[in-house]
Amino acid sequence: MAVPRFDPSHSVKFDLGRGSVHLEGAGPRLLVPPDALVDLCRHAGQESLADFGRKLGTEVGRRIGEQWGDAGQNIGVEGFIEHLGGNLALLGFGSASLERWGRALVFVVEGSPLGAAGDPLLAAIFEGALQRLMGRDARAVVLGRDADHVRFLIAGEKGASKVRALLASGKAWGDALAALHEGGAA
Amino acid sequence: MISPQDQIAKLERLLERVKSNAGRARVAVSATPVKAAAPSLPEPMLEPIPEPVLETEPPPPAAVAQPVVAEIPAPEVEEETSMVRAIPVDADEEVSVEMGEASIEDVDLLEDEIVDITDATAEEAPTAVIEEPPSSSRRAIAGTMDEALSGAAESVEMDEGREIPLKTPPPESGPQAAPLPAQALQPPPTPDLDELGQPELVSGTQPTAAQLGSTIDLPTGSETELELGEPVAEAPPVHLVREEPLRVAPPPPAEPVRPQVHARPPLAPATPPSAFASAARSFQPQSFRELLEASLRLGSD
Repeated sequence: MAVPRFDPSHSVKFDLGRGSVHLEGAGPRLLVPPDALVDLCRHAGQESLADFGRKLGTEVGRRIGEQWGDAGQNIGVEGFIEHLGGNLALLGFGSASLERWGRALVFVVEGSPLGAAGDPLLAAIFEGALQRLMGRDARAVVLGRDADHVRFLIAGEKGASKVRALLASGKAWGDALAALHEGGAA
Repeated sequence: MISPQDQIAKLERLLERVKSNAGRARVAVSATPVKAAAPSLPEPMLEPIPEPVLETEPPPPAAVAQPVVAEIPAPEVEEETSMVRAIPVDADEEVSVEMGEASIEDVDLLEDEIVDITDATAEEAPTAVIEEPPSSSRRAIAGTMDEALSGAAESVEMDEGREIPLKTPPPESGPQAAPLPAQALQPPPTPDLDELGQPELVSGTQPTAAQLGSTIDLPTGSETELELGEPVAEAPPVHLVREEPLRVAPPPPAEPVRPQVHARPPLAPATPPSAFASAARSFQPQSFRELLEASLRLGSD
């Protein structure tokens, strides 16, 4: 059974009489300014921010799983990123894409309204979505960021620790990925 | 008032009488008007001529022989010349011809008293009225021929004691066309260069007469090319040397700017550029889960 394409039609409904915004299959949503959310995340602490993000990711995973059905376990790379990226776009977190560097899985988000301050929140969203869809505990590590793009490496607990250490030592994220493949990371 | 026909008749008679008297005269004086003749001739010193009594009675034509007149050109009216000459005429024979206001008198005079007035003053004759000589020099008009001869003799005796200036040219000479100076109208002769030899400088500033007006054709040179020797490098005079602005030769056209390229040495084919690249080529996940599991294992070994 083939996985259906992502269809955003009628995904968001505005009930102006009741004063609510509804996301299909998810219930009411809030439209909040990103700067206020960033300030809240800064003062919430790392664990609270990670819990908040994982909840958002779990919600995204659930919706994707509802769209896939049982065939979602064998979904292809292009199909997965199509649905994940579509759902993140409905939430207003930017446009997500996927890069594969060897065996390393890298998510790229472009045009996030939260900026660099919202990168830990995005990382927690990816961890929650993967937990909900794939049932795997993964860590999203920020490899690098430029003006409009941010890259997240999906790795295990050990691998994430090694990459953070390499980046903290001053290595470029490419070299860190290469080192992670060679197994020579510190 | 005399009619023109009468005047013409009188003039004709006068002419005949003149011709007849000329035959008896020793020399016939021609009154050829010469205007441009002999500018170098000395002007005759004219002396007032005793004015004869003019009467209108013409002379008898048969009484005189026909004179031999040497080609008297018919004078033009504007160049009419008055002349007086000695003509032996009888004492009682007087001829007077009136020509308008002027008159020609034909009287008997001595040879010394022959005055030729056909000179440059002839231009004044046609229209000018014969002026009367001053009263001081006026002589009494002789009534007869004897009185005239005696008066003339007295005047000769009076003039013997003093130097008589030359009044008129001798009758033989008469008024003649003065020959033009041959040298004045002819170009100067071309000097013979062979005879001249070395030029002789007469004056440092003015050319000689022989050098004026003559053109000497120099022989044309051969058409062979001249072989010029190398110019001798001589320093120009100090006053001719001036400082000219420094002329910088225009730079040659600029070549396009090209970087100095240091080529990177080629890599040895046996050396793999990166293990990562080889791993990327070898791993081809079939599903997202396979990719996720491989990525989760990174760094766990």
